[in-house]
Amino acid sequence: MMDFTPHIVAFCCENSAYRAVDIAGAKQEGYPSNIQLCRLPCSGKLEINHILRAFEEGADGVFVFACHPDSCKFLKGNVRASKRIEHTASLLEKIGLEKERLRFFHLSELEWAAFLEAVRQGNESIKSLGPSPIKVR
Amino acid sequence: MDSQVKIGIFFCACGHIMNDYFDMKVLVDYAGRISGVSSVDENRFLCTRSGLDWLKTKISQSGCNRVVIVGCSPYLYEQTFMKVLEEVGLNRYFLAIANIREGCAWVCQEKENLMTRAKQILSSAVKRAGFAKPVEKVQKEINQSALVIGAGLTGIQMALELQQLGIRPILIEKKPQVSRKNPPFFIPTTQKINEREMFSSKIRELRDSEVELLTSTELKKVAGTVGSFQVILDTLGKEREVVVGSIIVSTGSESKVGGRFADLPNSRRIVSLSELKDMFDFERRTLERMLITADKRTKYACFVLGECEAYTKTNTIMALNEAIKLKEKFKAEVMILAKDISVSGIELEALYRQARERGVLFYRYAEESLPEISLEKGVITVSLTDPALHTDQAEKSRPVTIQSDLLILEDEIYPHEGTDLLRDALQVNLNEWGFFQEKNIHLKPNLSNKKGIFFAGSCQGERDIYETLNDVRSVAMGVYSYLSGKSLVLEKKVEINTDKCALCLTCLRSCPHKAIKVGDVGAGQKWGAQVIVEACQGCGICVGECPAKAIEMINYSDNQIFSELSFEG
Ligand SMILES: Cc1cc2nc3c(=O)[nH]c(=O)nc-3n(C[C@H](O)[C@H](O)[C@H](O)COP(=O)(O)OP(=O)(O)OC[C@H]3O[C@@H](n4cnc5c(N)ncnc54)[C@H](O)[C@@H]3O)c2cc1C
Ligand code: SF4
Ligand code: SF4
Repeated sequence: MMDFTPHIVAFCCENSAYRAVDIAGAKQEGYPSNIQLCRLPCSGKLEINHILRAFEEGADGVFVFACHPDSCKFLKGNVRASKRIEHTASLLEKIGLEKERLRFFHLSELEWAAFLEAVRQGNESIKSLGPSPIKVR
Repeated sequence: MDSQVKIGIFFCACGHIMNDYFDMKVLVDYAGRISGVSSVDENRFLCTRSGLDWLKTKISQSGCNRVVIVGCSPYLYEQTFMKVLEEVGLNRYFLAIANIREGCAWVCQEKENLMTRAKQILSSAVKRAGFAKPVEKVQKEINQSALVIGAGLTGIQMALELQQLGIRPILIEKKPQVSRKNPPFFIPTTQKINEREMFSSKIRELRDSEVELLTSTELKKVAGTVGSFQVILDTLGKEREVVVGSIIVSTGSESKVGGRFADLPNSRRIVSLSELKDMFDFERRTLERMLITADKRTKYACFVLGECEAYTKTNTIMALNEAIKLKEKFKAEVMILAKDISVSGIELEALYRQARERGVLFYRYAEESLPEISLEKGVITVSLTDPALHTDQAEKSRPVTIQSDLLILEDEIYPHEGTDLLRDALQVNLNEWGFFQEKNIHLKPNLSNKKGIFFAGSCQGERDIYETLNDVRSVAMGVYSYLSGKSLVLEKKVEINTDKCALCLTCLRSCPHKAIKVGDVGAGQKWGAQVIVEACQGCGICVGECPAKAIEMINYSDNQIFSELSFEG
């Protein structure tokens, strides 16, 4: 696994993380360019089939960025998301995919540095897992 | 994708920035070859007046019906471009932004990946635009009135300011009357201000105004959204519905003796800061008996600060002020024990200097050696070690023991009883101390997570009087900006397909804004869940939860989300 660049999809809530990513961009610090962003109105909108679809499309990792506990703009969106992600992770395990490929982070809209930290470190951990064995498309 | 769809792509060079990063010719060429694209144009500065005019003409000329802007972050000009679309007669959601500046140019450190990422972002945006469906608009009348909850200084001032701005305020207070024998604040200023007089004059002003004041009243239930909240009020068991455009929470806070000494035995000689303030105003004789004696013995009064978990500014303000008063009125020996005196507030530094000049003594103690208090046969003994007081021989601090005639402890503030019920009714957030949680403490300090609901004053935690009045002004402007128009345009972002709905009520239970109702969809038709447009905030939680996939979010449809998941580009 010498020079493997993973495909990573980052689902971002537009009230917090998407904004943090934006600031991170504006700071011009740079982050791994293999992180593809998907904007959501709230992490609570994220459905299980969206995550699975990302893996089908060839993602090696999926990150979900939601607001901090107790500060969801819509009160419980992040709680719902975390439950769905837990469930999806168990589905992934059932089909033989490492559940570590799916990761959940909390971010507020000003925590751009935390976003950088999360994707840099997350990118490395996906690299160490190697390419995803399922690429349907 | 619909064959009627014609996508127009508009590149913005952002001056020359984009050319510094990308080979624009290649990108433009690539864009032209994506399926569904009918025209590709370039501009140097899309966000300028002339750029926007250019965009308008170009959209009309090219006859495209979906628009992709390739440029900077959607947080900057998405709303502006949406307006342009509306002006040319397209639905504002027929827009997708390919953010190749904050999302690509400034991100990629490896230059060879720049073009690949840009192309991928571009093709996602084009697909997303291709799947865009119109979001319907619903017009609602705006109710130019506001409900203010809690008639403390904040609530009263709030109602008066709104009245001046032409917004009809309804002020509710859970207690039977507004007047309070003593406002719990002191205004730190070098001028002479009588707080009690100031508070009563505010109450007089309120009585003379046309503000509708309802005492012994609490809020029961809330539905609706900004412009038209339907609120049920409860006055001594009698319910009544009012419709208001906006809601302001100004329920303030309460206080009690806090810190390690909350459980000291009861003694008339141990009081809290706010009790001392009341004694000054209403029980001066008791104080006199404690602090003035015939036998000329010096009397001691001792304040202990810094014991509560959160070191509060208002406690410092009150302690300094009361210390000066004790010194002036009773010639007592006054001591303030603190870990640290922080005077970062308007006029606070001056107040501190004044206290020192009058001879108030300040002792510091360290975190490791907190002061001890004992009460025996009515005698209060306070002992502490001040790190600044050394004995001559050794570098060891000398303990100080004070026999105090009066001991004053800090107030700890906590939210009013019933704050959690109010939270549930309003569906807003509380912070970890149980106070109302602002949307963003730095950028949006008075906004709640819900449009049209604001927080002001000490219901958000500690506030001194200057901060309180600042809150009032900024909230009044915020309310005005929402309610000054004639009508409110709501968007129907979420739709339920009744044919698919199995009436499982999952959406009803999971919607955090009570925006789902169940009933027959039309005369004689079957039953199903329906979205209440006024209340729906467009979060999409119900969409994610519905097991029958009967709910769709128009501007975040599955196809649009899938558009952003593929890796070709
Ligand atoms: C002990 C103490 C000492 C202070 N000392 C100082 C000082 O020295 N200097 C300074 O600048 N600031 C001081 N402050 C802060 C100052 O009091 C506040 O900034 C100011 O009073 C703000 O008032 P408010 O209207 O926000 O809250 P409050 O004055 O607390 O008023 C809130 C009102 O809302 C009502 N209410 C509560 N819940 C409900 C409900 N559910 N429904 C209807 N009504 C409700 C309450 O009955 C009350 O009348 C102090 C505060 C405290 C608690
Ligand atoms: S969750 Fe779906 S199926 Fe259940 S009531 Fe709501 S719309 Fe109908
Ligand atoms: S999108 Fe659904 S869950 Fe969210 S507020 Fe609207 S109806 Fe409720």
